[in-house]
Amino acid sequence: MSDAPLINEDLLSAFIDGELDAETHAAVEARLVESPEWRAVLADVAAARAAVRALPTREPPPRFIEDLIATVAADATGTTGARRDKQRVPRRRGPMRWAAAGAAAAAVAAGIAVFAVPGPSRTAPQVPTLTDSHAAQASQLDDPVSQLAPVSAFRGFRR
Amino acid sequence: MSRVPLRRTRFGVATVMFAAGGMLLVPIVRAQPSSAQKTPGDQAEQLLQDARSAGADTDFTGVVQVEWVDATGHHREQVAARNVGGVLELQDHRDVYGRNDERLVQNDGVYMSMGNSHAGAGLPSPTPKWDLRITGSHRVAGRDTSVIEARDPETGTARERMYVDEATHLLLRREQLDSHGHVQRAIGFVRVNQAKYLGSDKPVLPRSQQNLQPERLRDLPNGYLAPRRVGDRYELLGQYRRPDGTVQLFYSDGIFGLSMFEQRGELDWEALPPGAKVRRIGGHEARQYATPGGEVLVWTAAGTIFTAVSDAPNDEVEAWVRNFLPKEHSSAADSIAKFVLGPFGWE
Repeated sequence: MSDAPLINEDLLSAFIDGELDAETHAAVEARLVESPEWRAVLADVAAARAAVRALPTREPPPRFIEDLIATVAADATGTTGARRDKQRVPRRRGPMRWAAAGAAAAAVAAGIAVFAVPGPSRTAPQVPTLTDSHAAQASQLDDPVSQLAPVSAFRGFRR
Repeated sequence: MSRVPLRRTRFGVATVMFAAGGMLLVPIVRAQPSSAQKTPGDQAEQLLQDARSAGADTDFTGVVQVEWVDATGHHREQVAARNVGGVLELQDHRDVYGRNDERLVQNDGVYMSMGNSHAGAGLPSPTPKWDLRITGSHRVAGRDTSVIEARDPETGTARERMYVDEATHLLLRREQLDSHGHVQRAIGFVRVNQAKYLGSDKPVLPRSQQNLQPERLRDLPNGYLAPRRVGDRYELLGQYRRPDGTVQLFYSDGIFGLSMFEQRGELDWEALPPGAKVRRIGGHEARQYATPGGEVLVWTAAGTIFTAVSDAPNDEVEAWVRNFLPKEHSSAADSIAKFVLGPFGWE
């Protein structure tokens, strides 16, 4: 148990990026000065970030974007694998072509229906209320003071 | 600050009689074979149970300090606390009251009734999972405490440290530690005294104005997930439906508690509170918040919005939420991810 400020890897990451306010930056710096263990963690965080940034950028192979779009389109219409198959299976003609056209028309109609009919309402959980609810439940089986004090201390989620 | 002994209200006389009886029994107990002696784990667990009940039964008044860390820095807040006659009152930014199973939380002047009895469910024993032991003594808020540590039996690293008042068994401080043993969250008294000595009255419970008390559920509606056991030995202790229809599942491993909230709908990411860290969990985008009470994770899958709230360390929560991730998902976005990342084995 000590009075030293608490720090974690997220905070060190923000420290490296220069995202902390002056007071917090100074506090983290002071902690690093006194703690070789946290200096080692800082070195690990910095090394991991440097390694990611050092990865080479690569140009996509020819037709990569076109193939990607074709694959996704095929996946969306439920014909996964069609792109690969078309290279070795002869193209079907005759009645099948009309069937395919009919299926495409049906897909377009279905798409229009999906967009015309209102989908499920968009919503977001009431995060502050849910955290309170968890603390209330936990405090009935565990120590009530240590479970409920954070609820009182927290200024809440600012919007 | 003068040190004044705290008073246990309900069991004071019983404790004296029990102690007197215990003195008479000492020679008998000592004559028992060694197999009847409690192990260090049993002793620590007993002390922890005593501490949990003392929090509700002991009259006190004091100040509790809450500390936590997130990506913006180390935060420290103090809360005035008193427990008199079985009514607990905590006051700082938001007032909180507790009496038996009642929990009242004030938001913008409105008191909300929250929580529901676990209907006799007790916490599972922590010892099958944690190496629980009393590791020594320490002074907290000017009082002598026994220190209980819950250690990971594989690594030996302490993940929770609890300081229990030697005289009253009141839990005076608890610390949560990361997998390296660094404190990430701490809640503890910086000042504590006997309520009677300071002439503190019994707090008056405000009248509840908004009922957010969840309904206990015997069975869940179709389509909701409720594994009986998740993560590393977290057991389902209760399932509830909140007034807005959200389902809450409450789990515990005997040390940490976890709540999983499930609600139907499409997640509006823009409507979530700011300050979250963007994460990916099992291929799903998620938002993570660090709060003084614990970690919060929000994500969506298969038309359900999941919100996990826990006072457990990060790694425990991540292992736990994987039980709620669907094994198959086949959206267009997933197709892109599979096509692009598949050859590299990133997903």
